[in-house]
Amino acid sequence: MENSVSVSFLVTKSDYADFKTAAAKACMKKGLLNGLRGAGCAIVFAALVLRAFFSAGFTQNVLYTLIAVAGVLVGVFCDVMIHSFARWRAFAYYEANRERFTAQNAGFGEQSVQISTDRYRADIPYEFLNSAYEDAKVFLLYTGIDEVKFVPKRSMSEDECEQVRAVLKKKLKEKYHQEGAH
Amino acid sequence: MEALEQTIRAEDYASAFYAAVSTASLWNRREIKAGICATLAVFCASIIPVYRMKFSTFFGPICGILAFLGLAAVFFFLQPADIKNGAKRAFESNRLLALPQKVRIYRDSIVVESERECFTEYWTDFARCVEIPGLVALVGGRERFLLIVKKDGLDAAHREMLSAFFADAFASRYQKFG
Repeated sequence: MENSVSVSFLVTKSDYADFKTAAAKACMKKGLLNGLRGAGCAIVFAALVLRAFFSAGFTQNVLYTLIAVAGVLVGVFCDVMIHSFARWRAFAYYEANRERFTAQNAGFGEQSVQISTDRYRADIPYEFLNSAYEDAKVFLLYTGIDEVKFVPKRSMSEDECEQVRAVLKKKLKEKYHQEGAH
Repeated sequence: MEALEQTIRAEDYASAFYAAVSTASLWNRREIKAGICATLAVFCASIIPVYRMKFSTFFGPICGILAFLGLAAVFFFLQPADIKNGAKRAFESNRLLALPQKVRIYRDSIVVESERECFTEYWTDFARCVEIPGLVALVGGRERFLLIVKKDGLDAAHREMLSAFFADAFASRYQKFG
């Protein structure tokens, strides 16, 4: 069966880091993010109250300032820190396991996705996919809650990205999520 | 070459996953974690006389004993069940895992083929091999984190041969339980 979109790519360090960052974004629930932001605000507020009413010297002021800074980091930069950490871990894993990253082919047909490498071949119907996620750099295809394949967008043209987006939206419906895609 | 046909069930996957996770290191074993907590509970009990001399009560050590015994019960009974339930959920979310498979075992590799997938893993790709009654779990492969070879339906001689083969192929990375 001819695929509407066929791509080939060799997984680079950046690709793998983009994949892990996207996976971190995909598994971050909105409620958790809002909870972290709320917690950050609470920590900053607590630090301000402590500074206003319980300040007893330079050391304690420094401590309260550090608490406020921690609150800002948790509340404002939590997602940036999580993504940076995911990226850093991905770089380290790639360097330590270069031999695992080989050339891949991916094909998006009307009924299924075909993925192949030198040692793996699969023809996965869209109804077998648990979900799909897209951000600015990659498409993630979840075959299970803990198993995911990815296709970097740099391996596709804009038109091909649009075609893939359209077929995923049509076949997966509410199981297809987008974040920061253009 | 050995050829097997198998269909993995949720219970198989849960058992294999738990075996893979709990044997990753000594600190993952439920007996070790529960034993440490029980030891700390005994330690709390041993400081009751000293504590009582200082504070005229034994509320603190009693809280410690209850807390550590509770943790021991969590590590020994609840956490394994939780891990297995998580594994069952992961299995049920992935329809590829439940497809009937044909497994061909070669001297240096294993080929798994189903209706939708076909892949090859070499023994050197795996981090560990854990054998438990009923199945062999190959952990840390390139294409799939957990690969299962079921021993159901094999006679005793065949199982022994399979065990010896994996022990030889994986050497120090091979562990057998039960």
